[in-house]
Amino acid sequence: MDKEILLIEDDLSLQKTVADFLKSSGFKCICATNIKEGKQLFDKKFYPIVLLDLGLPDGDGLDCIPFIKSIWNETGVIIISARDKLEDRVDGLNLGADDYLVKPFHLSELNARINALLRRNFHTHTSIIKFENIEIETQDRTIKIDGEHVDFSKKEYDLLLYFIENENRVLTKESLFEHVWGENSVFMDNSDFIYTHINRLRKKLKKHTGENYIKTVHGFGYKFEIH
Amino acid sequence: MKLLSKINRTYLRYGILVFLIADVVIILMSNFILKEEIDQQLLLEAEVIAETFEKNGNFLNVYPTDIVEEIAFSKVENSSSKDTLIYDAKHDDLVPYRELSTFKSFNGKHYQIITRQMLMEFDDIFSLFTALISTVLGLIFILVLLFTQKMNTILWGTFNKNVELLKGYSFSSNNQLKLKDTGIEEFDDLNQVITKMSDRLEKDYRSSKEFSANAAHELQTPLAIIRNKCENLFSETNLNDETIQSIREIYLSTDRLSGIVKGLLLLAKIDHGQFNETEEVSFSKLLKIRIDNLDEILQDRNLSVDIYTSEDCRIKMDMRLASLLIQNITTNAVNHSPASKIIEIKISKTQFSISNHGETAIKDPELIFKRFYKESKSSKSTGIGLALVKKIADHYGMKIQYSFKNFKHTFTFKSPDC
Repeated sequence: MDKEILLIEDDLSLQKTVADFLKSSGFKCICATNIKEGKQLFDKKFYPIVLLDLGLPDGDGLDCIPFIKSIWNETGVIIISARDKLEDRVDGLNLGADDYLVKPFHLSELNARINALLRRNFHTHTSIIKFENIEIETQDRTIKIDGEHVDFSKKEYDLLLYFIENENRVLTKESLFEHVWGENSVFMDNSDFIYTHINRLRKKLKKHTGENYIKTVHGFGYKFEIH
Repeated sequence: MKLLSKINRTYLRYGILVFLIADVVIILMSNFILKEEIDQQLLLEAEVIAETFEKNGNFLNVYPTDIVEEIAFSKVENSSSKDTLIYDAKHDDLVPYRELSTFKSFNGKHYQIITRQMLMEFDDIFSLFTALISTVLGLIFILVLLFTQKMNTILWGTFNKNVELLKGYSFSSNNQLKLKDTGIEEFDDLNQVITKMSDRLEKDYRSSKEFSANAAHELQTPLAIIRNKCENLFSETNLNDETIQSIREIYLSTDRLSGIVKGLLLLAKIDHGQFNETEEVSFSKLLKIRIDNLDEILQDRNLSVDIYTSEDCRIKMDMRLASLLIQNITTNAVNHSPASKIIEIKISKTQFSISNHGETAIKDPELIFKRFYKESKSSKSTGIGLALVKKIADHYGMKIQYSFKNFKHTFTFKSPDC
């Protein structure tokens, strides 16, 4: 199955940034700048994922959701909105949206959410993620290394999955913190905290695989890659 | 007090006053007139007696009403009348009489002619009139009551309906305020003023709500672009240290700016009353969940949290705001506590408090709830967290107290019910 994504976002600069990013992650990204255009595109073709902005020039993106769901119920809708999730999240999710991402978001987070949604909505999409000799079974959240089951804590699992999904990409401490602990990094002083946890995961991986996949990128954060 | 009962009460109060005055005046007047009348009758009678006496030379006294007595000249006076009491053997009681004494002279002899008439007792008159006046006044009162009630349904009916409409009206719902025509000029004027005012308020409300939504969109989208561009730059390999440092600072400032915008918009939204789903929030539950979520962060800083619960603190408020409040005060405590100390949470029926260790008291406890005020110079802080806490507490009438004792900063939140 083609991993095609329909992006409905009126800001062209953001549209391009997100589209470029998604392309680099192996998706095909089709863009629309308003509701009308988006509906037309969707009417013609099936998209497994729709990224939907809410404040669009010809109306509220929320109105799109019933339309999308009435044509392809399997389509996963992720709202990307500047509006605070406190109010709209409820509305959006009630209308059938599958996830909600508040602007400004981390691109790596968007990638993780899309992958999670694809796994959830399409069972054809493999639930096992492989990286070298590491195997992550996402349905029962277990990890095998060299075919052998290894225990990881919940947070370690989340971190590792996030790293592997965003392979070869620099992940900032802030993005890691927000993804795994769900806290806005602005409100929490976290530099040492992330370091401790990354270090623990790094040691565990090294012990079982003999490799150091998690690189420190000076000044920025961390990167998961083969040498 | 209802207008109708106000009218009735005023009417009753003045009615009683008028009744008392009228009662006294009428009784005095009728007493006076009655006596005048009796006196005249007595005088007439006395003249008839005098005539009979003169004609016959004698008169058979009828006791106690008609008496002729011969008296000495020295006792002759002008005729006079007075009230008197005479013993009545039949009733074994003193009975009031009106008495008229006239003096006549026949054939060189002087006579006193006394004529008397029994009077009705004063008490009887008093009760009679009081009863009469009360009945009349009572009747009038009942009629006025019925009349005003009838008027009330006619005149105030549409007005009351409009009041109900106003009571059910709120900006957040989409129904426009439509008041009914009453057909009464004063009420219609009032309706017009209210409609105009509500239209203006609604417009203001909508535009400020729109502003919040637009501000969010217009600010967060560029911030998203800056942040995402920075993230792309991170993957560049040939950057020097200075550039790395700059990009990192741009990236972090974006985060902070976005946090500030979110906070400010939240403050505005609370003011607009956009969070108005109330439910009973259990603070002991909320705090426990929050502390569980913070578990690893607490471990990392070697902090421990002691929760003392005597009874659950339940307050009716919006769950989202309650969570936000808890999130901010716990984050505040964690961020400001030195490592390896204890954070204390105390929950009772009427209040909950959170304490963290500290070296010195906050200089200006009043100021810490102000927007953008920071005690520490930490650039991480947005200076808006506690302002949000205060706003939420104020919104629901909760009181916040700050105290510093035994090297502990304590924030206490008191339930609005106490």
